[in-house]
Amino acid sequence: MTEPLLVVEGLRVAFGRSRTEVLHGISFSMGPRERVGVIGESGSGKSVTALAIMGLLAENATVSGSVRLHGRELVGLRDRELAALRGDQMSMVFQEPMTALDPTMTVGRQVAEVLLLHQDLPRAAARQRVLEMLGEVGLADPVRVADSYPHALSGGQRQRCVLAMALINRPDLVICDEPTTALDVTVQARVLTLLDRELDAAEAACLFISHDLAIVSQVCSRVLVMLDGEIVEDGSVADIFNAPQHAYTRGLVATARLDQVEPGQRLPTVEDFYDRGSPSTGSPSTGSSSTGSPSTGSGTGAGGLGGRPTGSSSRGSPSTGAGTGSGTGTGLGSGPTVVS
Amino acid sequence: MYEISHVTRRYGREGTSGSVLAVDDVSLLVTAGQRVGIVGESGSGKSTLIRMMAALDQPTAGEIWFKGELVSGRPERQLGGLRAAVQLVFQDPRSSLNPRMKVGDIITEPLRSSLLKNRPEVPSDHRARLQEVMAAVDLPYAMASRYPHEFSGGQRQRIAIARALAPQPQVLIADEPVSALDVSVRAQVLNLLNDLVAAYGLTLVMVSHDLQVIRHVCDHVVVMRRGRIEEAGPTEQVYGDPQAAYTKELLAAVPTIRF
Repeated sequence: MTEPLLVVEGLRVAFGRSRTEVLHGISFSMGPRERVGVIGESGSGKSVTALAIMGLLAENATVSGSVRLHGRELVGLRDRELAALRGDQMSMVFQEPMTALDPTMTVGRQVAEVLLLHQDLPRAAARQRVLEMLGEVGLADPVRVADSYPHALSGGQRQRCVLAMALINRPDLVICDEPTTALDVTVQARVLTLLDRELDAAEAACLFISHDLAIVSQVCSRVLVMLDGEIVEDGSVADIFNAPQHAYTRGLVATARLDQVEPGQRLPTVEDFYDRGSPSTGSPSTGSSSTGSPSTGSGTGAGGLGGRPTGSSSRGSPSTGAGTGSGTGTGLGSGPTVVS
Repeated sequence: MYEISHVTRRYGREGTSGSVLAVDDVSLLVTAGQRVGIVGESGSGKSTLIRMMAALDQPTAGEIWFKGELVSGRPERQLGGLRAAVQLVFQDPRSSLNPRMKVGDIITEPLRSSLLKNRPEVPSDHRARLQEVMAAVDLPYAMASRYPHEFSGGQRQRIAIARALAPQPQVLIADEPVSALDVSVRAQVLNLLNDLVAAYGLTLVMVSHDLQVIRHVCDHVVVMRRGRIEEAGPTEQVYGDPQAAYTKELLAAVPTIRF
């Protein structure tokens, strides 16, 4: 077995003076060049996980547990030490390229900055390398783009520049947080193809956060499913989509498969499969209160892939599946709730 | 219901450098009960087109007829019929709902509009209508006294839909109604839209960049690019046998689950 690149163990993150915990001790590891997707709804802790690994959390965050990159502990490192790693051994691609780029600096200078922070290069050589990299990420006219300010570029061009910044030092780990969500479908398809190629070229591993399961299935080989600050399922893409273990994963997969439902027919919702035991503040209530039988973990079972709920609630008997024992009472899917 | 003939919208004066032709000679017919989806990438003119259909913007050339009446170029005070019959749902319910108003007031606000309040087709019993529409979008009536920030994204979009339904409109125009929502609540809101459109016999005009969402909800689709209509027709026909090269490109770019 190869040495893991990244090992996360019992990672907990809490915010503020009240120490509200949002990440409840998650553990996973990634091998070199492995591509791992992270799915889950907003607030499930996907982005906090990414930021915790990068050491980019706000100052009011309390981090405990362990994050090791090449065996080196990152939790508790000084900011200066972390800064030496960021952009060099690990880098990040954010969702919104307009906010990730500095509007007052030409793109070429920004990409060169990442390079010069970590390598001692003469200016001319750095410029040459930047132009090469911009060409590599599919920008047709690297010289013009390098001398442009971000506002003069299109969304797709900006995101390519951000990718160039993230990859120019050939990092071992690239974390992508919804990298194509702000892009048009056609541009998205091109950027994803590019990402695929560049990750291969840089021999980088990738932690890929997305709410779009289709994209995750295209980019990644493995998927982590997050729910309320915990990883509830960790498996290969094929397993997650063909035989999801956790009721919540089954719901997510079913609801994402618009293509498997006849137009105009009722779409399966997550609540058909997974009942959020205790309604936390602001959780949407779909009409009738459902009576999920309390159980920890998951039900094995029939509901699986894209199957529309057939009415009866015979789906999934309580079992001790893959579910990690979560504190809140999770229940199995109630019968489909009829809207309106 | 709608007859849009040779509509053009240009921003800025023609010939000047900042001039943009957002919609370029578009003609479109929408019949009652149709569910029309408009797709295209950003900048294709889809939002400009629906803004003109809602008379929030005026064409620089061409005419828009609504139920046999010319609505383009008319002053606001003559648009009462359109304002009562056509309602909008916007993309981001965080910005489309006034944070300082209670949900009940937000939903009944269109009923208090000076253009609408004396019209016979607009419900006059506000409290009764509030109860009706909140039930229709599956929100407990008790929540009417809360503020928008107390709701999740999916719930806020339900509130926006309830407000749109309040004056008993015939046409619902939705601009990317689910693209700001989580996948997990997207299905709920789409189900709700489908149910409401069927239950009230609404005509739906929906803009989306997501071709799968359009396919699921709409029976007709209009593909726009650079202000022009590239292709239009019944959804199954356009998706099954796309004619324009651009439609093919769009369909090919839709991410599918692969492993």
